[in-house]
Amino acid sequence: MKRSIVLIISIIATVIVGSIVYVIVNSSQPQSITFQFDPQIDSVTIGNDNDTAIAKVKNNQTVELQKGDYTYTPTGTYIDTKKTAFSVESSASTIVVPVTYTAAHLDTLAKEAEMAIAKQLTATYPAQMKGYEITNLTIFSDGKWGGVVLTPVGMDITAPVNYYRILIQPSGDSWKLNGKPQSILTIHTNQGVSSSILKKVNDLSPVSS
Amino acid sequence: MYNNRLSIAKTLIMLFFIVVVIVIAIALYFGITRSGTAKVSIVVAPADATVLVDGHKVSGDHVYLTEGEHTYLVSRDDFRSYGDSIDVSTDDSSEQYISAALVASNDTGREYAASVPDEYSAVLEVGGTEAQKRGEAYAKQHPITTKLPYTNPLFTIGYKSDQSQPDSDEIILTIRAVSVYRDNAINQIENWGYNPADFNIEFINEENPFL
Repeated sequence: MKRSIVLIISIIATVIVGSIVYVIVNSSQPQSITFQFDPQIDSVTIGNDNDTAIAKVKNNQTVELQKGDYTYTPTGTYIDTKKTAFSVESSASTIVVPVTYTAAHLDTLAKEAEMAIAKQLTATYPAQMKGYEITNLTIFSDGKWGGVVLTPVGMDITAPVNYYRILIQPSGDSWKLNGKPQSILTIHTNQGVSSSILKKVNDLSPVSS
Repeated sequence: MYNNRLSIAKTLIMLFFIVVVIVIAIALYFGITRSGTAKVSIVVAPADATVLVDGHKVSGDHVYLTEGEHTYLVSRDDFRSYGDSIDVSTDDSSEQYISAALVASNDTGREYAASVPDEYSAVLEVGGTEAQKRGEAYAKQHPITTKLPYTNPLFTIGYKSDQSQPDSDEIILTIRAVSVYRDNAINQIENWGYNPADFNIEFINEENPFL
């Protein structure tokens, strides 16, 4: 009887100890983290939770990281070097680093785009554009899309009315219109464009900052 | 005496097995013939009207139909015939109906219809259940409709079916607002947790010079 109890207790203890060892070993195993990004980004620097750089990776490069909290900072021409936090869990994963240009570069792109867009609007809507002007032209963070707000000439900025928004996109070295000016852009007015991009255009203010 | 009892017992056991075999055979027959079908209840007024499903006369208060669209015609002397179709689903656990309340075409029909009010009430009850089912399915497909119509002093948000796509269940959100409050209506849709860009939106009385 006593021997049976000792045997059962031994089995239970072995299972518990084994489980604890497995969890400890498994959690201390480094995980493969792959970084992917567009060619506009030269490299990405990985920092630990003490803000110390521990690795620098190129596109599609994999690093082994222990479970924990980290940051990554992209570098490249005109790339915003803002730190982004990420966590490594108990499995391998891929992190896609989005292209985010600096505000100064986006402003430059917007200035370059404005002339081309104004020209296209006047050519496409010659009669309407006599009464409208561009009050807000914004290029979004990755430089792949932008939005324009057209307001009636002389509109009272304290009570904006009859303004319309239009999506723009790069075309070669210039920019082109996507769809028609609308009060609100939707996946029905701009087919094939994601609603998250359209929301950015819809959120543009009719009053220039 | 003993032999007699034994013989009765044998007969009873035999009878029991025969009944079991018959029950199994019936269950198998219905299992095979009704597999892939759904029970569709028939509720018509007057209750003695003739019901044709896919051109075949059916009797009783229900029929088993295969998944898909089926046409039916309900007719009776002194009443106008009524025809429609039903889209039968074998996945639908709730009851499905063929229902029709025939309209009298002459005084004889009107007199008869007045004499069977319970039969017409039964059809109305089924109509209410079906309408509720349709409403629940619609709300599941377009959850924003549960918030609509929405009215405040600045704007009204409603919805209508998209007539340009009659074969689909797409909807168009309609916004009635003066220009200065259009963005307020859009913000209201965002406040409900939706991205307005995901919808087909129509501003009532908008005169967009660029379109």
